[in-house]
Amino acid sequence: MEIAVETRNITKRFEKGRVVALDNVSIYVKKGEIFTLLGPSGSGKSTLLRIIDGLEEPDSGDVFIDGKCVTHVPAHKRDVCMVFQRLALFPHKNVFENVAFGLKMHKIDKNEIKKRVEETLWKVELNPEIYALRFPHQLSGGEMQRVALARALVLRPAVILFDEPLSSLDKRLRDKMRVELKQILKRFNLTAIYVTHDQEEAFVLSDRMAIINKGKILQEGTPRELYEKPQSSFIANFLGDTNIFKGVIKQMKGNLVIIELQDGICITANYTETPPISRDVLVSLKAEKIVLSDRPLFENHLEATVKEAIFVGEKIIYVVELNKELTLKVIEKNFGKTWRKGDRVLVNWLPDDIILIPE
Amino acid sequence: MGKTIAKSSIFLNFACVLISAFILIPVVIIFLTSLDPAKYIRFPPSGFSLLWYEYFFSNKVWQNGLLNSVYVAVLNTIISVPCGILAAYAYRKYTFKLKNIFNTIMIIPYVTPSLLVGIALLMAFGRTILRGTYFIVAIAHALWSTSFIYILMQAALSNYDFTYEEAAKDLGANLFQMFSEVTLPLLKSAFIAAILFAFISSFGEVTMAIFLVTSKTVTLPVLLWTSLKYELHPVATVASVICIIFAIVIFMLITKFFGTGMLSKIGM
Ligand SMILES: Nc1ncnc2c1ncn2[C@@H]1O[C@H](COP(=O)(O)OP(=O)(O)O)[C@@H](O)[C@H]1O
Ligand SMILES: [Mg+2]
Repeated sequence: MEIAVETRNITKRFEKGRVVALDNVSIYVKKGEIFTLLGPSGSGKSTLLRIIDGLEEPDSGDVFIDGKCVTHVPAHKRDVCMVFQRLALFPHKNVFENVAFGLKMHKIDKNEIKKRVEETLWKVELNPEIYALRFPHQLSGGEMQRVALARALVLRPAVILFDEPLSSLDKRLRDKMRVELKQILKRFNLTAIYVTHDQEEAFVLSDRMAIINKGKILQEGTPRELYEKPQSSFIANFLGDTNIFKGVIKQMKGNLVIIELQDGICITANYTETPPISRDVLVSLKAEKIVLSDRPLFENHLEATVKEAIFVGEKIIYVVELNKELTLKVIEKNFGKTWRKGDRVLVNWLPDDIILIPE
Repeated sequence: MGKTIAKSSIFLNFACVLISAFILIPVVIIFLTSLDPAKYIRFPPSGFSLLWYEYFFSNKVWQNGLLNSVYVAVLNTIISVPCGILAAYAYRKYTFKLKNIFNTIMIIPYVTPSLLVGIALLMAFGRTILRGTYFIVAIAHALWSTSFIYILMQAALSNYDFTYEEAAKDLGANLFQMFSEVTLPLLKSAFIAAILFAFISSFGEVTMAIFLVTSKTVTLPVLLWTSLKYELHPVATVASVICIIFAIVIFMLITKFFGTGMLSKIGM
C-alpha cells in the first residue's frame, strides 16, 4: 500500500488562537484512492485542504506528499492541485489558456502544452474545437466544472483536492456530475481528497472517508463501516435518518442484550464486537430499517400510533408514537400498504439493526 | 445589477441641458476670453485670435511652468501609485497587527487641509537642501495622492477575488508569474485609473505647491495664481484653458478605464 498524502497531528488556530480550526488532525490517503472528508460547515474541511495545498501553514504538525515532508514548501512547488469551491477559473483567459496555465508556469514547450491541453479536454468530455476559445462566462455550470477539473488534471499531480466544487449546481446536475467525476478519477487511476458537507456525495464518491467535526476527525472507514458502525452519536445522527435513544441494559445472554428504553419498553440487540461496558447506553436505529405492519413480522415489535405521514414521492416518511415520550421516524418505500395518520400499527425491526453506540 | 433605464422625458432632457449649461459657464467664459486679443482680461471678448496662445508657448516662464508641472506630476505618480496600491492590497489581503490603526493613518492625509500640509513641509524642509526642489513638491502631493489612491483601490479591491491568486499559486505560479498573469490583468483598469488620478491631482494642485516652489521650480497653477493676483495678464486665461483641457482629457480616460460606477462608489 503506497501512501500519496498524509497529515500528521495538524493543528491550526485562527483569530489569535481563539478559533481552533483543526485539532490534531491525522489522515492518510492511499494512491489511486478517493478519500472524502465529510463534516458540517465550519468544521475545518477547507482549512485542511488549504494546508495540504500549501495556501496555509499549520501551527503544528506535518504534511507529507509521496513520502516527502512538504510542510514548509510553498504552494507553487507542491505536486498538488485544487479544484476550488467557487472554481476560480481565470475570467480573463479562455478555456484553453485556463487549462494551459499550470503547464505554462512550468515552462513546458508550446507544442507539448497544446497536445496535453487537448488531450485533457477530451478526458473531461469537452471537445476542444468547440470549447477551447470560449471564456468562462460563456460556459454553463457543468462545463465550468469540467474546465476546473481539466485545469488540475492536466498537471498530473500526485493528488487532486476538491473543495465542495459541486455545491453551487442544482441537484440534478450535481447528481450527474458526481458520478461522472468518479468515473473520470477511477478511469485514470487518480488520487483525490474530496471535501463535502453532503453525505450522499461522500457516499457516492468515497473509497474511504472520514468524518470531521469542530476540527477533529471523529472516525474513518468505508462509507458502509461509518454508516453501520458509528462510534459516536454525532456520526449516527449525521449519517442518514436516525432514531437515537438512551437506554439501560437489563440483561445479557450470549450475543443478545436486552435494553430497557423506558418503563416496560424493552428492545433486543445484537452486539458483535466488544460487549458494552456501562449499563447506560445509546442505541441507534435507522429510519429505513423499521417496517410497519398490522401483524407482528419479527421478534422485535412494539405497538405504535401513526402521528404523521409525509409523502415525498418515491418514499413515505412516518412519525410514529410509542408513547407520549417516545417517537420514531420511519421511512418506507411508496409500495404496497401505506398508512395514514391515526392508524394503529406495529413497528418491527431486526436485532442486528439496533446499534449500540460506545459513548 | 442592471437597473432598467427609463426613456427620458422632455422635462428631464431640458433639465440636463440647463444643468450642463450652468456647469459649463466658467469653462466657456475662460475659453472665450483666452481667444480675446485685448491686453487685459475682460468679458465679453472683443475679438478672436490665438495671440495669447502664441505668447504662452513662446514665453520661457510659462513654458517652464508647464514643464515643471509635468515633472512634479510624473514624480508624484511614481511615488504615490505604488505606495497607495500596495497599502490597499496589503490591507485587503492580509491580517496583521494594528490593522485598523494602519487604515486610519492611511486616510489622514486625505482629510488634512492641504494648506496645513504645505506649511508643515515648508517648516520641516525649508532650510534643508530639499527646499524648492521638484522632489519636495512631489512629496507633498504624494501624501495626499497616496491617501487618495489607497481609498480608490479599496473600492476596486472590494470586487476583487483573491482566490484567483491562490489558484495561480496552486497551479505553480511563483510570485512574479502570479502578478503578471493574474493580478495585473484583472486589476489593470484600476491601476491605470490610479495613475491618471495621481497625475491630474498633482498637475492642478496649487495650495501646497505655493509654499514649496521657487522661481525655478514654479508650477503652472502657481504661476497662474500669482499672475492673476498681481497683474491679471490675459495669458493666464490660456494657462487656465490648458489646465482644464488636461483635466478633462484625463478624466475621460479615467471613466473609460474605470467606469463611472467605481467613481460613485468612492463618493465622487
Ligand atoms: N482565514 C481565517 N481567519 C479566521 N478564521 C478562519 C479562517 N479560515 C477559517 N476560519 C475558521 O475556521 C473554522 C473552519 O473553517 P473552514 O475550514 O472554512 O470550515 P469548512 O470548510 O469545513 O466549512 C471556522 O470556524 C472558520 O470561521
Ligand atoms: Mg469550506
